[in-house]
Amino acid sequence: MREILHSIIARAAREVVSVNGPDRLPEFELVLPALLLSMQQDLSPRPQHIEGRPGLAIADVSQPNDRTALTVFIVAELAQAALLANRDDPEALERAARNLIWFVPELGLIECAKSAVRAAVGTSL
Amino acid sequence: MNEIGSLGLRPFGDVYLANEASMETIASAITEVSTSFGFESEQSADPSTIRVTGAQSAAWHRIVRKALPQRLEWELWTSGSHAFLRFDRPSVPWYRVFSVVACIMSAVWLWVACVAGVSAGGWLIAVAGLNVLAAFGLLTLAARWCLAGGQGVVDRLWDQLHDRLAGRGIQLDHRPELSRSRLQRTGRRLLAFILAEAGLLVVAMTWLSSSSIRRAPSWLLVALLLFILIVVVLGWVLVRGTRKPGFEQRTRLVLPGICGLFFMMFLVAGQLPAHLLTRYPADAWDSLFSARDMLDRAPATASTITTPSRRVVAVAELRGMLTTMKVILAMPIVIIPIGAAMGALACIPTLRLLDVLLRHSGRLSTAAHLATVRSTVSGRGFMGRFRASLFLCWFGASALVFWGFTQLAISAARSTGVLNPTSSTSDVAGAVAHALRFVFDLAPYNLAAEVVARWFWCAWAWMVFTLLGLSCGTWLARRLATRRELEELLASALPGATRAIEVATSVISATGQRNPHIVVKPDSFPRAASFEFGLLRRSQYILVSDSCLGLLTPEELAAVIAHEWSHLVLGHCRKHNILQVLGRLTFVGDSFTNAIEQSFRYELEADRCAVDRFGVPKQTIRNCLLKLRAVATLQRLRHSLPATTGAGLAMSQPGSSATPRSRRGPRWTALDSIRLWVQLYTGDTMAAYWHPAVDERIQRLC
Repeated sequence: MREILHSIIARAAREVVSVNGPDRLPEFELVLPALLLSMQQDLSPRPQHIEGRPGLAIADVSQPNDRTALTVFIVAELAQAALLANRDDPEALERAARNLIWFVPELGLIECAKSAVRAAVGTSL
Repeated sequence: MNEIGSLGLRPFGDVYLANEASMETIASAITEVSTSFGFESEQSADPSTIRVTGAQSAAWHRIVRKALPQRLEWELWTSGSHAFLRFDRPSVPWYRVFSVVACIMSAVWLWVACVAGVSAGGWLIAVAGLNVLAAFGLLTLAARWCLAGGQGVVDRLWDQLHDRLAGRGIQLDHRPELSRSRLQRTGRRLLAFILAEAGLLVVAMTWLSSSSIRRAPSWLLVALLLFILIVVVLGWVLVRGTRKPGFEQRTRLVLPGICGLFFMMFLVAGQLPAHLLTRYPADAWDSLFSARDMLDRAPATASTITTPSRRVVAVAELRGMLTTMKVILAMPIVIIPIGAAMGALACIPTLRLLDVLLRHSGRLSTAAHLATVRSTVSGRGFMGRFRASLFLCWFGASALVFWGFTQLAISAARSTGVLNPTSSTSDVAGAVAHALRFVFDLAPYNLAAEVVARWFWCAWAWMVFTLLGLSCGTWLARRLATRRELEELLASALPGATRAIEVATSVISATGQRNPHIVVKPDSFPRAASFEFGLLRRSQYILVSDSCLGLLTPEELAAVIAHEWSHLVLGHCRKHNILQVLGRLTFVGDSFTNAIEQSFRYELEADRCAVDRFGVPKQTIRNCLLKLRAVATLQRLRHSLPATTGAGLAMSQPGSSATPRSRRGPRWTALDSIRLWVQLYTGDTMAAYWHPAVDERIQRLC
């Protein structure tokens, strides 16, 4: 199941990036394995002590702003919704997209991701 | 294409997103509600948009009296499967002219009243004071007219609309990132107007005031003027910054500092009136007390009194003069607690605004235009000017406040008899004691007044030094706690630590320097940081989260460790620590010092050092930065989403626990203000910290 999900995410996200920012494709290919790996991790509690006083941290973790990661996140959420509820609830993808916009104000990106995920799920199942 | 541009927004209006694309239902609810609030509603529609306008039906005098909104505009349109609603309330031309004239009139009145009060004497001061109060009243009214909130009419209208729509299964979510509020613009202009007027008034009053103020200690006057300058400059930066993207991030940097400056201002302002009292010569005090005695000894029926210098003075005139003096001398005594309270209260609205902005920018952290925001904030031009101006103001003001502390300490020591046991009106506590005796009709050598004044002044001095001890003590406690945590992590030797140590050793052995301790911490956020403790025997640590070990190749991990080691080699951690101690000593806190710190330059220097000194390929640093940014963004998004799986998101409905926020924010309490201030002061929040954008770092490096 996880392999299918990762394959759908990779295919759909690649499609979205190639439509919205083809110049970001090399960067996308570089970070995609790390993002897929990162999605398997459990979320640890929010930073408490040392992170509150971060010294001189290497990555800009205080305000991360990566559009490629945002694309993969949206695609992953939609893909999971579509995969988990595909047979029982055909409207799940539509509903997930509608609810996602409450958190991520990216109408164009979500619409694009929705059609890419629909196409990727259709060919995978 | 830009999301905001694609929506075809008009210049002004608050934009709401509806969970259902049912424009007709929303439009009918709007018409019903606005009619019930006395607006004559009119609806027009074209294929893609529905417009509802409401014209105020109340008479003009009622509009003015209650500051009612004159016109409501609603526009509904759809985009994809979503409905958008734009709401605006423009003023009619006559009302706009009226509110501007009211503002100008209040400004002129306030000026005239203040200047007349300063140049007047005797009972005229009281009349001028009343005038000043009246002018402030008009200013408040003018602000109300400008905002045209109609005593909460619009809020109540929105409440009813939300309730009515909720009954039909529709929820509206305010989208600040798509809105351009007319009200906010008015508020900003009003703030600028009040700031400018207050600054000019204080400067004018300082120069036009009586000779006793002119003879005040020069360092206090300079400090006061400097603080006013800082507040005006920061206010100007704030107002000007609202027009550009990146306003929220800039405000994060500025507002905590303003709170610290308010606090310092209250320390200085509390001392100023008491210092002014020491400028009264000793013979002036004697004359006041002897005049009071003469009046007490005079028969009740006497209309005139003969003074020791054989001058004949009318009793009524002498009584009037003494009462005026009592009022004047009571002012410094009253101003000290008022100044303290004002200084503390001034922080609360500042913090409240900061909280709103932080929550707002929390939403923006996932928005499309964040990249623009980041590049604006971390741009060299802005940060260079910003840091330079803050640095100058901060150190100038701090030097003056420290001089004040020294004066205060000497005064306190004198009060307790350490330096000079003799009582005198030339020291602050002695002068305050004389003022107390005169105002409360006590004997010229009343001991209780002396004790109260001296103990008050001692308590004041001790309060300052206690706060200073707390400020520095908490910093030290935090440092010790951080070090203890690092030591514990080091002792626990988490899986992967060996690999990190091997990589670090291979990197550091190239330099032939002493190895720092490598600490691995379990954390889903990929991060690395360097720490340095101790003055003589330095202990250095490099912290790496275990998620970094899994995500990065050995070469990329070596690049991370080389970057962090560069910070230690270049002395960035030491400078960071010194600046934080200075910030704690001057009560501005960690967030402010982080804002003026050269962390932008530090990162670029460390990147360059990793390449030049440790031989890390540029491409490896680039790949490493891109990976860390992407994973950090993903983790941040996963943390911000209540339902973290697709299935959970698909099942959740707007209005359930997954809805990001209610239409009203949580109630803000004074305790929240204090908590937020402490977080910012101790740097215990990410809001107080930033790095240059990854794109810019890569661009500079490659």
